Amino acid sequence: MGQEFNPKILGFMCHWCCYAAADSAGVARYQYPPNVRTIRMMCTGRMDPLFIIDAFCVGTDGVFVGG
Amino acid sequence: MEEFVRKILVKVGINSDRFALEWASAAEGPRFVKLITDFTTKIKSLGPLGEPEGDSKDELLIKLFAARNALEKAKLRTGLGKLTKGFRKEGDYSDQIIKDKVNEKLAKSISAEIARNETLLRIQKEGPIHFDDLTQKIGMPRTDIEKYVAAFRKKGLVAEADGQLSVTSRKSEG
Amino acid sequence: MESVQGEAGNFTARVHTAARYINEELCTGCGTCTMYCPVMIVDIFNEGLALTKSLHKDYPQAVPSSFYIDPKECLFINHEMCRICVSTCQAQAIDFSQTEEDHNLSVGSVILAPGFGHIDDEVLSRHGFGKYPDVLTSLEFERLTCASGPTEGTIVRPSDQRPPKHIAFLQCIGSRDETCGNGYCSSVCCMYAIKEASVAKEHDPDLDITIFYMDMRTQGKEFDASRQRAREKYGIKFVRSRIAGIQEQGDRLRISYVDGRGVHHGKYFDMVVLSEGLESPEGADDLARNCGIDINKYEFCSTQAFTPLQTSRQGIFVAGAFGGPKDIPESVTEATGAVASVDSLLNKVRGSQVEKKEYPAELVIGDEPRIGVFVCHCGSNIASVIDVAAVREYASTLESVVYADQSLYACSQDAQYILKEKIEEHNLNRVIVAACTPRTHEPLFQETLRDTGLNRALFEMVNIRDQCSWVHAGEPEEATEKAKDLIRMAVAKSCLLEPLPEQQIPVIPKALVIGGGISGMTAALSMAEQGFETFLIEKSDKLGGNLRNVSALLSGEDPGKIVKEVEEKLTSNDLIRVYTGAEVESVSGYVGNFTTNISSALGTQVIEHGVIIIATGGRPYEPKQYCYGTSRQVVTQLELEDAISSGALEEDLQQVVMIQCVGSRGDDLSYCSKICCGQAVKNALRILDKYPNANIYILYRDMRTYGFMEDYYKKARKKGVVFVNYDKEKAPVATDTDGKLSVTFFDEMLDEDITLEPDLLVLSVGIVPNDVDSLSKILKVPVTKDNFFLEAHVKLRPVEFSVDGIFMCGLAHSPKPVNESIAQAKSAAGKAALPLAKGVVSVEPIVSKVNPEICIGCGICVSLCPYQAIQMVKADKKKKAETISASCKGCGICASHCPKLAISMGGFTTEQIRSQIRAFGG
Repeated sequence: MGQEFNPKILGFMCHWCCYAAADSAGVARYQYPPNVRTIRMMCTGRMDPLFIIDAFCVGTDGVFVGG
Repeated sequence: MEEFVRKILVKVGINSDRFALEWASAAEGPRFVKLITDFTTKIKSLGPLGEPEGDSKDELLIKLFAARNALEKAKLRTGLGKLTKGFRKEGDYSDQIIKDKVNEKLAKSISAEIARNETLLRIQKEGPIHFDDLTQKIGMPRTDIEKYVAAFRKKGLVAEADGQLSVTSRKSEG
Repeated sequence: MESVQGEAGNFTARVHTAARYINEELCTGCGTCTMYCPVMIVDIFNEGLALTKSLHKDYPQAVPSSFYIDPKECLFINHEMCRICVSTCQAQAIDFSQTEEDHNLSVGSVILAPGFGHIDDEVLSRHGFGKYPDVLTSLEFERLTCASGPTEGTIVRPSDQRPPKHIAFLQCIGSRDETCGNGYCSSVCCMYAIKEASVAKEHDPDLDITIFYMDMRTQGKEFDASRQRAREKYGIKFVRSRIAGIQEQGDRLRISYVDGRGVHHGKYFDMVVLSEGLESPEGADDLARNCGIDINKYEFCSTQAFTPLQTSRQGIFVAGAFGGPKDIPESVTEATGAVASVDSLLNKVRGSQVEKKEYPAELVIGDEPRIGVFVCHCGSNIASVIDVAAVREYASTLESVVYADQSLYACSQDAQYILKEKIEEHNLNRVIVAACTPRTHEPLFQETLRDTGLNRALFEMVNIRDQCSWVHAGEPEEATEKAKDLIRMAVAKSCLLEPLPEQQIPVIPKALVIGGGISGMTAALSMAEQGFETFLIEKSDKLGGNLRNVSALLSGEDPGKIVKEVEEKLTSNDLIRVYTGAEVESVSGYVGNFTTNISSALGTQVIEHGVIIIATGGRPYEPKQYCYGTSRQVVTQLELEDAISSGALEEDLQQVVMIQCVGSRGDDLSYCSKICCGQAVKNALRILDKYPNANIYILYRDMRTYGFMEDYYKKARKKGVVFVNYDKEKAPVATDTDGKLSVTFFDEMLDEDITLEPDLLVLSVGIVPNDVDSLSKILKVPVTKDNFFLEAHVKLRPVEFSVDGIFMCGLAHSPKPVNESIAQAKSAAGKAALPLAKGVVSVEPIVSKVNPEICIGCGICVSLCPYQAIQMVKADKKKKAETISASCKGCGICASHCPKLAISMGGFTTEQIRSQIRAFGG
């Protein structure tokens, strides 16, 4: 391998909570690893187990749900 | 939902640490950063999907597809819905209670539904396949698999010849 | 505020504004300027525990979300040098030519909400603040515990940056203290100290925390439960003592105090937190003078018990801590209450200065998606990290993308013009903007879409600034890749976007108020004064509720008079219909469209209305303890009041004992009933007025005479009322021996039991909510374990339910004195008037939609919906779920739990999300 493993991570974020927290992290210019791709939802209640399995089906290495 | 997903992941053969459910309020930027950083580190340490889990990529995928197909159908979804409804009614959301209830009410049908879908998927993908091979690959009791196969045959999806199973009308799934 | 001329309904308010030196209209809030500003200053918002720049904003959520320059520190303003910020701002928002300005505003009414002020440093210094670095104020400690505070939530000692092990909280700093001029109780410090201590314990379970207090005044809703949790779950210690002194010894702080038995102690702590009180806001006297209103001796705004939101000047109202120290829920409550008061004054001109925007007719879009992608540079905020040109190039290669562009500021006015032009030129039917966050900018772009005739649901935003370039500044390549991935996912979703209807559901502009005590009466009157027809229903045969049984208030007002006044106003107001002897039989419908059956002696009547206010109230607890009912010498406070006012007390009353918390605080009811301490003090003083030589003993657990009530408590002490503290475990005992009553209680100071034979034993009984069972079932609204109605959010939405269109006030919410009930009633009326005044409920297009073809009528969604926004309907004799769009909040729990995937969420359908996931996979 040699090269460092760069995981593909999918994030599902609640519009009012984690998505907003992520925005405020940006405003404060905090830095974090660039691996996560975010799908915004209006609420974590929208989170269907199907989406998580779907994510692994397309080869996602990790799924982060942020309420 | 969380415990339910974990159960499925374990069943499929994925380290359930690959899935995290966390909370951060709008003002908690630093907390979000910590959560994401920690999660990324954890996934890095786990390695690429499937690799540490030991299964071959194809094996993992077939189980994942089986889980996905199961989750598209009403049986498991109804189970989850009813369970959530129960929690809402009781008002008790402690971790232990949720764990116990998922185990008590859903564990069986999770296994069964994934196996049922896996049976069909394997026959579609790997058929003609011998019943014994099928049973061994799926890793469930032979009687269960027989039951699923019988149902598929009844629906005209699967045919048997000399102990070899294959699909009748090739509907590609996954 | 420099002056208020004129009269209610027609004021000219002269307002002085300082210069921000940054044009709010142009500032995009990107924050580049602050990074380059070379002047570090002390961060006042973080209580001086951190540094910020001269060019800054106080906190990320500040409104407006624009920055400003502190003129005292700016190098250019003071020395004509620097100006670095000007060159960094590509939006050209920095404007040093700004000056202070005076504005004359024509307004009909004024609401004063300046909040509260800090306790003087000199007062704090008496407790070691300023002298010992590890003595902090509670506000400083609050910042330390805050995840977005200066230490990101880690508690460390300012002296050595090490985490403390032992922390002491000292209560009543600058409160209940005549020596600093603040005789009143600040009302909120006990609870916030418990909260801060609990938060600290959650961070570090090994912390040892002691709270030194005089009375633990946790009288708010569910506050006692928090206190109990603090003691039992977190192991926080509570010591009843005002400390004698604090001294630094080595690197620790020694607190000396005397306990209830008179024994001296010395204890060491690593950190001491001063629970500072709430003072009147700085400049309160100037503000009062400029507005022509009265302030009290503590320089808080003067109000009356029955008009808690009204200043001494007509048309000027007050909300929040300026009217007296108070907690968040009361402040929020008063804010909407003040709005209702204003609306009562100005409803005739409501909306008269509003211009309605018109949109072009909506275009019918073709089947084929034609997507336009616009990538924003955000000045250099995005472009300095992400290769915008490469991202645009990549976007243009994606399927269905027919146009891709980049722009310096996608949110600027001219960019909107270009956006419109491109939509028309390329016949775009889906638009993606990759820029900042949809949380702030989605509405702007959606507006532009609507201006071109495109439905706003055909818009998708990609966050490549706040969640990409800003947070991956050191990894430009990865950030660029991330931006591409996110756009690919957005394109996949966009292909499936559909126009969604802009629903507006008409509202019946009438209100139903349930309960005719002072809260319900006030709410009904307020609704009518705001111009809405109102039905007021009362179970008993007359209005007035509990207040009819109260003969005087602590502050001297006459309750009988106010009940009569309000009743007269109600009966003379044509918009109000009062039903006495009436009850709610059934309610159906949703916000804007309720149908209610009322049963009364006249039979069942059906009324239609848009909102409901619950004011079903409470009643006194019926005691069985302390020989009540067996000895004629034992009465409740209300019975005593009746005897005092009717002159039925015996001639030579010599000794009276009062027992507090009868029924309350774990006796029978788990909660504090909030009013009984004030009631006991009031009646003790009234007895002393008549019988100056009477001996009065008040046996209490914590005297909760919060706020300005404290003055009366002190007065009672001065007049010789004896206050004896008792423990719940060692409660007083009353015995009736052959008609002779005696009361025995433990005196901690003397360390012995004392027995008295009073002429009268008065029980301060708690408040029990009226039967809530049937109403909570009829309306499907939640109640607490104590059977009070449960609000949508205890702090921020104190009079609303999670279900839209239903509100609450008064004792049905929690025990409270009459001034708070009235404020809350006005607040409920203020909130309830909102949908009625709008005339329609506008539905955000994110609501859920059930496909009846697929729905199997299992009802899981109905039972899971937190907003009662799904109902079962019969179609072709089959049960089907159906969304009540007006109530739906778009959370999606119905969709994610639907066995048949029959429910789609506007803009977040299962297929849209799954396509995003697939696109993520590549």
